[in-house]
Amino acid sequence: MAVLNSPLLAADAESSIGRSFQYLPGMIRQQLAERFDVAAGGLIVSVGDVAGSGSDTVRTRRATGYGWSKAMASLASETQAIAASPVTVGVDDITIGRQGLAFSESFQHAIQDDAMLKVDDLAGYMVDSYLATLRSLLCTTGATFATNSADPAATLDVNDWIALRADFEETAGFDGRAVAVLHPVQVAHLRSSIRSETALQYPESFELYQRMQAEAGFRFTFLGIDIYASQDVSLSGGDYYGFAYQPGAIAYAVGSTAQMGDLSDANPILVPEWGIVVTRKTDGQSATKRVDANAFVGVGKLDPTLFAQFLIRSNAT
Amino acid sequence: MGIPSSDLTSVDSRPASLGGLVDRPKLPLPGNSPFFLVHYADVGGSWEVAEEGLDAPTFLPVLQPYPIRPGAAGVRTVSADEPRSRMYARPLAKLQEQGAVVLPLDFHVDAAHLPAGVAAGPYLRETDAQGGPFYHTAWDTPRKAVRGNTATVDCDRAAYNRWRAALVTSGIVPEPRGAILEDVRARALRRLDTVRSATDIPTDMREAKTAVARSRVDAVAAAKLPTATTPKTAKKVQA
Repeated sequence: MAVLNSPLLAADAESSIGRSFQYLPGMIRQQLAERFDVAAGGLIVSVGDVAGSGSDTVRTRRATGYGWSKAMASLASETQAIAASPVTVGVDDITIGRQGLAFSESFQHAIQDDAMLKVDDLAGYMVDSYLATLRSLLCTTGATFATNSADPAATLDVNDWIALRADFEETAGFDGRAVAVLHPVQVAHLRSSIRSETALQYPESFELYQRMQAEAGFRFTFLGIDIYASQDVSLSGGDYYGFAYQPGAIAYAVGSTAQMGDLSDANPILVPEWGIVVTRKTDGQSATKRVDANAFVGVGKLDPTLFAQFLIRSNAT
Repeated sequence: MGIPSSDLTSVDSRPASLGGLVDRPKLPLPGNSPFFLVHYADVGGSWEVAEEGLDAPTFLPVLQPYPIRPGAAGVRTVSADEPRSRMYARPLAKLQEQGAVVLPLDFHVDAAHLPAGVAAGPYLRETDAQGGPFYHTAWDTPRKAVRGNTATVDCDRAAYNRWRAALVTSGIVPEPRGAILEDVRARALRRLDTVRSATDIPTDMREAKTAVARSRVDAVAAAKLPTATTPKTAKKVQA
């Protein structure tokens, strides 16, 4: 027994019969995380579903040598035969892969938890994790664009952006819409460069390009190119691998989970259009339960002859 | 064999195994995928001019990481009994079909071409990160960023440049056709023109930017393809 002398002091009571802190019940705040949904932003398009096809790959076909891409030959004489023209064809593959995330807990954790971190609670966030995966796959794929438009010897600047705009415009058939996905540091470099150009003389532009924006993808439009940013943009060899493209250049395919058969023993959640299946498992012997999310999705690029696409490789520092 | 002593004072001690008891620091980065390095031949931006670590401005091949991640860029998930290399067999074949130079994962890099203190071995290295292993090249040193909840990578460009030069002189990366190098020169000139004609910025700033762009044009104009005399190791700095 502790003796609390008068006057009774909170400092004495706290250490013997009180609490040094208390948690707000039933509430937990999630750490900051990028919430950039590339599907909602139209940065990625669907090319279909491999379910029931016997394959893990959706193959898209492309052709050229006719229509707008092939003008008629001017003939020198009235009777000259017209040479028959070839048609050039090719294919692009979008291959799905298995993506996964699982959580497990003991029965005791489920009994005691007061922070909404039971695996059943976490299962509700699997779709967010899927969207984060899709974004990451998009950035991984964009980093494989072959043609670099920026000056890799320096940090990203306005001149790179002018060169990028020219690269788009010089691509025959470019339809005028382009998006770019940069690392936030690349955006900072570009903004810094913009500041030394016309921006200071035009306050509206300065506000537009430099204002604080949410960490949710879209930043601003500059020279007609919508700029998005993600921490998922690759960093290698001291360079960031941002990328820009005509929407359509990066596509995804899924393996629909609609026809998986009976999963009732696993109390599943299915999101067939995204290839997601979430299953649950309970093991009384080890007093644990777990939730497993599988997603069957793949992201790939279509040929640059279909959609203009450029790497934006620039110095990280 | 001697009889074990019961004298506790003679029991050997050894450093305690701390596996799992002490957290090793991890970089605040999401994990990434292993990758192989690819040189896309004959496309714009596949060669660049660098001077760091070299005697003179030199045309060097750009090596781009191609991630090995199921579900991205043609890489597939394999069954448990399939060789893991089948994951990337199809994109690898496509890259080779397109004439790209792919450096295999087990491509050996001599210590002479690596930063001081980095052991010879494959070009792919990994560091523990919060989201799983963080793969990077042997010339990269990942570190926690000073600001923000992220990490960054320092690259020993001098050593990296010397290695890339050696890839050319050893014939692993073939020399480009002239038009590719012309494209590098043309872009440097175009950049100089853009900077020089920016009349909307203060004169001193324009002059400074023009000087940088001009020195870049000069470097590109003077640049040569790597030769056997390109330095293989770091030069000693003369006092």
